[in-house]
Amino acid sequence: MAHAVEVPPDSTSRARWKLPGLDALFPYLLLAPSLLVIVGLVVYPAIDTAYVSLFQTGPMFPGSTFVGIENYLKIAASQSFRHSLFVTLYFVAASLVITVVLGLGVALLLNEEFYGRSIVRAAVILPWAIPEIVNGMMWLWIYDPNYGILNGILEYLGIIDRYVHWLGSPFLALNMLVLADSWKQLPLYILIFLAALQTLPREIYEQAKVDGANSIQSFFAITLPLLRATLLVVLALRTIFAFRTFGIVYVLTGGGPADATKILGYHIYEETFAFLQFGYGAALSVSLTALVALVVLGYFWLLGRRPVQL
Amino acid sequence: MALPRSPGYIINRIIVYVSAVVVTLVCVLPYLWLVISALSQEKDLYQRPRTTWLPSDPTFDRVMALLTGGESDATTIVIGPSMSRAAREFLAAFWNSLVVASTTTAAAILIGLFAAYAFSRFRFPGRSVLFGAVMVTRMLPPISLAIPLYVMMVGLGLMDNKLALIITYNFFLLPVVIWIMSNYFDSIPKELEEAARVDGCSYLGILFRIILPISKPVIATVAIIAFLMAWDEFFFALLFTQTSASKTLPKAISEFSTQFGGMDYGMVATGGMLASMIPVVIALVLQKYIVSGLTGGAVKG
Repeated sequence: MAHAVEVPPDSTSRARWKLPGLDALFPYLLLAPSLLVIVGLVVYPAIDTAYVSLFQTGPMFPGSTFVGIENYLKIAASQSFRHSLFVTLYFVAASLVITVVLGLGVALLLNEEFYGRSIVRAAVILPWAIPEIVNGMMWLWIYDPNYGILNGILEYLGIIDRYVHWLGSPFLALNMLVLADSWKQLPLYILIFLAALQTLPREIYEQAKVDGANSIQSFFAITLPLLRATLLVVLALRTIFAFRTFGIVYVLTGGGPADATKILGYHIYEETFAFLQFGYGAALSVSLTALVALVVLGYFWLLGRRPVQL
Repeated sequence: MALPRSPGYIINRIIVYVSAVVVTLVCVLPYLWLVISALSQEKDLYQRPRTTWLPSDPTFDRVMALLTGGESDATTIVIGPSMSRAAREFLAAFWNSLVVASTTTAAAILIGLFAAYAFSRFRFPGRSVLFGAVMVTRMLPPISLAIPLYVMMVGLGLMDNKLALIITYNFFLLPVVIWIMSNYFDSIPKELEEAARVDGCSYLGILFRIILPISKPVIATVAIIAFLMAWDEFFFALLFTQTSASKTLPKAISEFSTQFGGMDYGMVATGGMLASMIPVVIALVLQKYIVSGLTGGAVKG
C-alpha cells in the first residue's frame, strides 16, 4: 500500500538527461547563480558565525581577542541562558502539542463533508495571511488589561469578574504568547494534514466499517499509522519554526514579564544586537542551530524513517 | 460515517457543525476585531466595561491619515503630534514593502528557475547532495546568519537601503522556489521534450519554449508564496533598516508602540489592517494556489 506521504522524488524512476563531454558542465551552469547566492548568504555567514563565536566581541571590532571555546563555557554556566532554554523548550513543546492535536483535529473536520465547508476552509487560511508583526500587535490589543476585547467578552459573559492582566504574570504571559503565535502558525499544518488525509484510500475505511470498527477505532488503527510520515514533516517544520520565533515576542512581550517569555531567539538578538556581544551572541546562535538539528534528527531517529527533505 | 438519520449520524453532524462554527469564529473574530478597531471612534475603542461591540459611527479618519501621510485637515483630529511621524512613514513603508517583496520575488524566481530545471532534468555528479544542501539551509535559524550579513551590509554601504533586504531575502526564498518548481517540473511528462531534442531544440530552448509555458500555475504559486514571505519578514528589516528610505511595514508597525511613547491602538489597528490587506485578499482570492504551494512541498499524494 502506498504511503500517504512519499519522500520527495530524489529516487524517482524517471530518467534524467546525462550530458556527454563538455556539455556535462551545463547543469552546473544552470545551478551557478543559485549556488552563488546560497554560498554568499548562507554558507559563508554560517561558517563565519562559528568563527566569530571563538572571539571576544568579534573580529569586526578592533581589539577583539581569540578566546577559543570560552564563549561556549560561558553559555554552559549562564543562568540567563538556562532560563531562556527552559522557556524555549516549554514554548516549543506547547506549540507542538497544539499543532498536532488541533492541527490534526481541524484537518479531520475539514476532511468531512458538510454544508459551508469552503467557507470554513477560507476562514482557516486567514490567520496564515496576517503578517507576524501585525499578529503580535493584534493580540497585544486583544489582551490589553484595560480595554482588551478578551477581558471585555469574558466579563460580559460573566466568566471573570475582574479584568485579567494577561501579559502581566510570567507563566500566564508565556501561555498567552503560545496561543497568539499558534493562531497564526496553525493553518499551515492544518493544510498539510488535510492534504495528507485526502490521499488516504477510502476503501480501507469502508472495509473497516464492514468489519465493525467505529470511527474512533478507525482513526487509531488506520489514520494515525498512515499519517506517520506527515506527522514527521509537521513535527520537524513546526520545531524548526518554533525555535526561531522572534518577531511576535518582540512586539507582544519584549521578553517579559521578568524574562518569562525571553525565548532563545529573543535572548540571542538582545545579547548580539542590543548588548553588542558579537562573539557570545554568535556562540549562542551556533548552540541554537545545534539544538534544532539535534531535536529534528531525534524525530527521524524515533519515527525511524530516512530523512525527508524539508 | 453511520447511516443517515441513525443516532450516530445525528451526533456526528452535531459535532461537525458545532466545531465548524467554533473554528470559523476563532479564525475570523480576532482579525475582524482589528478591522472594527481601525474603524471605531475613540469612545467606542476605549470602553470599560464593554457594552457595544460594533462602531456606532465608523470613521475612516485614521485610514485617510495613514494614506495621506497625516497631512489632510481631517486627520489632525485623530493624530496627535506624537503620531504624525508614524503616519508620514507609513506610506513610505508600504511602498518599501511593495518594492522589496516584488523585487525579491522576481529575483528568486529568475535565479531559482534554472536551478529547478537542472535538478529536475539532468543527471550529474553531486546532484542529490547539492539538492539536499539547498533544502537544509531552511533549517538554519536566521539569527545564526545575522552577524556576518550585518557586517557585510555595513561593508557594502547598504545599511538603510532597500537593496540590503532585497539581497538578503533571497536566502530563504530561493530554497522554496527551487523546491516547489523542481517538484512541479518532475511531474511534467518528458515525451514532448524528447521530441523537441530530436528536432534540434537546445536545452535552454526546452526550458523556455516547452516547460515554462505550461508552468504558469506553479510560477503563480511560487510568486504568491515568495511575495507573502518577503512581505512578512521582520527580523532582517529590524536589523538593516532605520529610516523611511528602507523601512518596511513590519518594522514601521513595530515602532507604533516603541518609538512614539504610549500605545494608540486605533492607529496600530489601522496600520495592521492596511498592512495585512494585500496578504488577506491574496489568500482569500488565490486560495487554491496557496494550498497547493504550501502542501505540495510537504505532501506528495
